[in-house]
Amino acid sequence: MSARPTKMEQRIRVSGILMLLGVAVEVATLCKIHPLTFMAFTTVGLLFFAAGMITFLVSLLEVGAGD
Amino acid sequence: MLPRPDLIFLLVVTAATGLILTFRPDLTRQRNGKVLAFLGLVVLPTMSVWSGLDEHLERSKTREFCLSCHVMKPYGKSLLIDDSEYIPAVHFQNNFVPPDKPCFTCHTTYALYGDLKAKIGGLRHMFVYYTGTTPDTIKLYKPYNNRECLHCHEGARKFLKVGAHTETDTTMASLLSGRISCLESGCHDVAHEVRSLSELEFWKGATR
Repeated sequence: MSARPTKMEQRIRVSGILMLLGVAVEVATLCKIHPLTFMAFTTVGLLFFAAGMITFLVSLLEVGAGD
Repeated sequence: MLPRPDLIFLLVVTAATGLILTFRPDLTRQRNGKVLAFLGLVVLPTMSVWSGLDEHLERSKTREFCLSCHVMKPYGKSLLIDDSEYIPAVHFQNNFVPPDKPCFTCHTTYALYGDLKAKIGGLRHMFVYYTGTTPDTIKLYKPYNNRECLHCHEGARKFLKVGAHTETDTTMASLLSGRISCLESGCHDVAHEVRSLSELEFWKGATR
């Protein structure tokens, strides 16, 4: 019987998804040499990576509080 | 153009770690799982972003990158002009500049922040290209600096042997200081000349 996921585990899952989206954007932008792919990586890609990292780091701050 | 093998490997590892943490977040209940989470959600993404940025910046220096905007295509075509008077053409066709980065080699500066300034200028060009109107005549912001020529030619035997460069006692000093431009009328003043491309012949043996 698996235990219900904790709040931190849910945050880690969200963080993982955001980070995977960042990797997907990076892979897609590396398929073509063009200024727009450069811009797409530096805006959309970095946004996903940053969001994923921040989500994880915020979850660390809330460890032990109400879990 | 494939990314570097180390970047591909890094992205695969990052994605694999991300998948594990997404589908098995309960692994983080143990100490090793917490370490995995930190590596997979902080360290590896940071490395992926850094390597990806580096790869993209290197790609932005390539001829393919510059010529992907259609306003630049005549300038790319001018590299194949079959006339040694045309400075960009003779440099490109004889591999005097890296054939995969001919534009960036000449149109950046070799000063301390040359690369960064060139990149910021490129961002501005992109903004104008996609949101504004590109001018009919594309001009340099400032006169072409002799420094970009002398970076390679200064001290070279062929450069020192040319009579015009040592015509007077002060000619060489004037060239080195920029008081006389290498591109002055009568000297090396034939550059891209895109307006006259239809009248010119092109190197038929080009393989790139």
